[in-house]
Amino acid sequence: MLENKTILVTGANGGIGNEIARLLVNNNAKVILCYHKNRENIDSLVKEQKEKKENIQIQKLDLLKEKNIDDTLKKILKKSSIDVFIHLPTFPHNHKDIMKTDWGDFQKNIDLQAKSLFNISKHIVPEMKIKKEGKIISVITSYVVGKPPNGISKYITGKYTLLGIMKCMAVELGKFGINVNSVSPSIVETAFTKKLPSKLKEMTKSQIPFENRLATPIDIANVILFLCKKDSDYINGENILISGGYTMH
Amino acid sequence: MSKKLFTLISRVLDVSETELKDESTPESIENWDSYNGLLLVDELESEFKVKFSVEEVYDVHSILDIKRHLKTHGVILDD
Repeated sequence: MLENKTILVTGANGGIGNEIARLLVNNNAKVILCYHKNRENIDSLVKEQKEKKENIQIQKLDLLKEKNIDDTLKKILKKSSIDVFIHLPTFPHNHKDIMKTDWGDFQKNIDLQAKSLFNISKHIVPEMKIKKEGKIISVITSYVVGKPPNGISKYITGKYTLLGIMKCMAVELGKFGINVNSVSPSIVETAFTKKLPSKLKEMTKSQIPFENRLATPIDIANVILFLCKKDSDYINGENILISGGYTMH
Repeated sequence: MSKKLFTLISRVLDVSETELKDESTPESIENWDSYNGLLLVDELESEFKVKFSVEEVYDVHSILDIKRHLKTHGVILDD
């Protein structure tokens, strides 16, 4: 269980983020659920968790604006330190040929994925160092292992940057009792992937060894929950693939 | 029916219908990459009420191949 733990979740309105939030609340954690534009799934979760709604704080946060991150984190930290930080923001899917992609598209993805994780970590890590414990978990993608698909170069580049910063933080923060890890799912059945061609999903399923099915948000949330707990203390700098065997190291 | 097929391909791949011919391939049409190819399969299945197997999808290397597989599924093209 996660009593007395305060967990910050970015991208909490998304399919995976919302499932994680639900699991965390069910495990008695206090959660700060960050969203940018849409919050309907977070509101539904609050309605669903009436008895524990005092454990849920909702926070609007624009991860592309450094000042907004600074102001928001200062406000949050006045009330409580953060024990676990889970980072899973993403832009809507947009297929684009690499040569038609502007550098600005790459930069926005790098900023959203990696820079915002770094900026938030700068606020929360000092207290984690004092407590000699803390966990930082990000959601990457199984496409950072092996050959990436075409048409999503900006997304892949953002995720590779996140993978790099995750590993560097794991190396430098491990001595303070802070774990930094990531999980990398293959295609997950969420609103984010709903627009993908159904034939792509059908063909992917046929190649997934485990039950010939796509991942569901709970498949990912369960692994993240494990990474939130003390049971996973010796896992550090790891990028855990959650792909039913579709991708292997 | 061939006209209908070419109109559909033109729309999905965002290419002028006049540029399309039976011999057109992913190499000759810039937007025909693997992702758009699968979007095309979705549209073909929906428009012609057919269901292609994974093997058939992998076997498509030109518009002529699409026509061949549509014919296998009983779609009558007018040429």
